[in-house]
Amino acid sequence: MKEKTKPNLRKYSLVLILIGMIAICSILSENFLTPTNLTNVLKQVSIVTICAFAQAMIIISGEIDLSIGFLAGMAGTFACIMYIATGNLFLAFTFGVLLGAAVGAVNGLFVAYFKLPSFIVTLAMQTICFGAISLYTGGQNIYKIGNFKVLGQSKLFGFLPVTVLFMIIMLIITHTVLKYTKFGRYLYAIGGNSDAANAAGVQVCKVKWAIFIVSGMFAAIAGMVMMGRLNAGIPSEGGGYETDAITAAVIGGTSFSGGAGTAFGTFLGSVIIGVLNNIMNLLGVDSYLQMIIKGSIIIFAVLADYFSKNQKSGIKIMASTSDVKKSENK
Amino acid sequence: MKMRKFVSMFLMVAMVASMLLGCGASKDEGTTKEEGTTNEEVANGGDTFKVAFLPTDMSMTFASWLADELTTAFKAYDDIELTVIDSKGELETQLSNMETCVAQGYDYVILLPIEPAAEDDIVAGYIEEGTPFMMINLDDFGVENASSVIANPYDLGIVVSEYAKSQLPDDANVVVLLGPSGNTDSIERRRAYEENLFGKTNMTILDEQIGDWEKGKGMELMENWIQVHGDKIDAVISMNDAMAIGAYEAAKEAGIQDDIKFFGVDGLADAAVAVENGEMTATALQDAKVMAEEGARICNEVLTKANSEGFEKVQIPVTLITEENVAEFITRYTENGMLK
Repeated sequence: MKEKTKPNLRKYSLVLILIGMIAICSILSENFLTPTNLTNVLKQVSIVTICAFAQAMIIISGEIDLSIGFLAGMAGTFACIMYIATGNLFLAFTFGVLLGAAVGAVNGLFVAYFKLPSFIVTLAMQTICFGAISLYTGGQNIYKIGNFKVLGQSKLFGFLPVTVLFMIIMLIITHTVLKYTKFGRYLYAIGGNSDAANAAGVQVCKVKWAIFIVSGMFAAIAGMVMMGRLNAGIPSEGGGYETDAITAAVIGGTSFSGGAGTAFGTFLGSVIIGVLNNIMNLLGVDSYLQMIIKGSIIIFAVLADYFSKNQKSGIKIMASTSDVKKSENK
Repeated sequence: MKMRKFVSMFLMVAMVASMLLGCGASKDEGTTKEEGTTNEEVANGGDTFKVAFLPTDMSMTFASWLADELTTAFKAYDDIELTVIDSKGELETQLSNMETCVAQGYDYVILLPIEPAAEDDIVAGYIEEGTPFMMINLDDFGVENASSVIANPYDLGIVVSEYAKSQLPDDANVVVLLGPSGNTDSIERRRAYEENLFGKTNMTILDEQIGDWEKGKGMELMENWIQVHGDKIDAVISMNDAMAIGAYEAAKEAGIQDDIKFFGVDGLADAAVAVENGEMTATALQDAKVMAEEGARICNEVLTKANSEGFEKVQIPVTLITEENVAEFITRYTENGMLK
């Protein structure tokens, strides 16, 4: 019961924060509340949000994936190369996803079966990914990617950007996986208390391995959408997405200690950052000031979320049952 | 537990192996040449000079291009063998690499500095101890006895801003995209624009933001600017090409790309293509080929004592690329493999 209440409350407090921000923004700038601008915001957050879904699932299971950014850069660029070579978008896309899955499988193998810390393994994988693509391309970016750009620049029915569509599809997938599948419940269980999950018959290693594969696939999809949007294969553009994804997931209520978090929360966390970036640019706020404001508001958002949660459910309830179990074990 | 130990060992080995693989590959270019020179050295019976090139970051297009051009340029000198040692964009790594080169008895070090001002004193110290140095592409002229082959970032800004002046109305509205905070190239190019364009015309800067050299950031900023300023924007002034091209993509999506002029700096393959397609109006190039040839010449003269002073400072003229001369660069980049 308690576990169920918690994410819901978090979700609503985030919705309130977002509504409040939108209200303030529309007063601050008349250009904010226009359909094109709102579409822009969604377009601008779509890639990082896809990465954030992967990161959220990984964090829920108690691990972290720092390879997401450069994996996205690598898989996206390799998919561009594949597309240029074959001219077949479906083939290139499949290749990209499989490449992401393969890298994720290697990450997962070391983390799940060899019990190495995911922080280190994925940190190492980050440089391996960037090294691999740079070695292949000789440090040059890939241009003239032709129709590969439909993955990032086209619109469905004349108004829905494909990047946003990808984000919505990934949102539905993540939501379904986390909420309605056994696999999703296992992720929460493992993140909450891996030993207890194991004792309850969850095949912890298998599930952990699988979630890294999923994360790799999400990163690859984000990377391909990114390159489509950029209309070029630029591996270095992926760098930094892993931390932005962590920020979005954590603002969205994903517990850094594992065991808690939702797809919608992550989505809202990402949109909150997107709205913030957007309004500051619309208002022409100085670049350096932007950095300070952004950092402060992120802390404020997490703090507001924390207090709203405490008021509604009390501090003791806030610590989920799994967290309590964890501390008891210690 | 044993298993874990074994695996961490394995991971270490795998990582080290992959790193070596990386080094091995980058050395390959050098080694092939090295073998060539070694044979000739035996034939000559003379000494071979060991020269190290320390680029900023080989995953950056310009650095890897300069490394290629240097490798080619040094082929003309049989008694010089060139080794490329990457610093991966880390100042700390570059400093250790310099240390290593001096300790291993390299006869000459060519430095593509990450932060020239921070490296001056150290370079001056090494020169005093007897290893000649060259600053290539970027130099703040803080070391008197170091050779210097640079394309002035200020000049790059000047040639593009001069062309922009001729292309834009006197009261044009512009948006400005900057490189990372504190970056010398960005600061100098921006200074050139200020002195040559903004200070001399009635142009209005609608907004000016940091885009971190990234295409994605340039695109995002432009999308937002279009919301606020719409068709008021006459030109995008960017301190590098990637951000300018990103801004173009955003304008294209909004369908207003033809009403706006896009100015960049760098002049590499992507920009040449963009100028050719009429997407970008102009860019300026710091020519790595000329830079490498001059660098190799000076290095050779210093090593063979043809240069009695032990150093020489030259400035490479910068080249403006517009639709009029872009074909020449497309051909060049296609020939040297930067454009496929």
